[in-house]
Amino acid sequence: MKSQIELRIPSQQVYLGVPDAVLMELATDLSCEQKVIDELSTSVIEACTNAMEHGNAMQENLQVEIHFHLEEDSIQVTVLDNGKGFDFLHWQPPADLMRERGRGILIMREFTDSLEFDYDANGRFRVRLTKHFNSKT
Amino acid sequence: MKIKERKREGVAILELSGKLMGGPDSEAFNQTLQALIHEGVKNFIVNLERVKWVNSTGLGILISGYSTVRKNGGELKLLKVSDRIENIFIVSKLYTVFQSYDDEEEAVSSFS
Repeated sequence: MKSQIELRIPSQQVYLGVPDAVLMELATDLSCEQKVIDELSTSVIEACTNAMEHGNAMQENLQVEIHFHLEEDSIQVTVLDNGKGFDFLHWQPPADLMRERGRGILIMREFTDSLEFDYDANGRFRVRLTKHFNSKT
Repeated sequence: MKIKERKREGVAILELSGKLMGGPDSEAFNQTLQALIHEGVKNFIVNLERVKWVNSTGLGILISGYSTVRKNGGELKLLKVSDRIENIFIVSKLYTVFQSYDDEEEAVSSFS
């Protein structure tokens, strides 16, 4: 089973539930634990939150593009925005436990089997999150 | 996110529902806390049973609320945290900050 779904959502938080709904629907036909899908979906919501806030500066006319690549034993989700990205090679999690922001990358890193940041051929910032169905992360 | 509030034995119980994700949610939650603190309420229980998911911005709302309540001499505790949300508290180490309960009566009596 291999398939791909593409989705574009406006940069408004109210649409953050859309990629979650897609993943939950896909999960009904997959033989993997709910925890695996929950962790991937939580990570995708974080990637989309960052794409809206930092990438597209919450400009409603700028869309966040999301690709779901369904493989035999994994799902890879790609999230694209129009921003400049960040210095992901030198990123370190903030130390203050009581900080109110800055946990998104940590959550994505902990909940996925692979997390990659780069730019696509058109210069858009790209986050790729991969989760295997038998993931133990 | 929707907020439903009630009181039990002097403890404010805030029942959240929907998605906890920052933006207007932050303002609504903070205003609710401030109004209750103004009424003299010190201790709070936030029931997350009907919250579908939380993102990192939503976590920030709970952290901000926790700090606000503590500054006023009270405690903010969580009730009925789903497995999905609990998992986020674990990876972010916030489980070391928030006390969490599965039973409302037990949560309320923990303040006495």
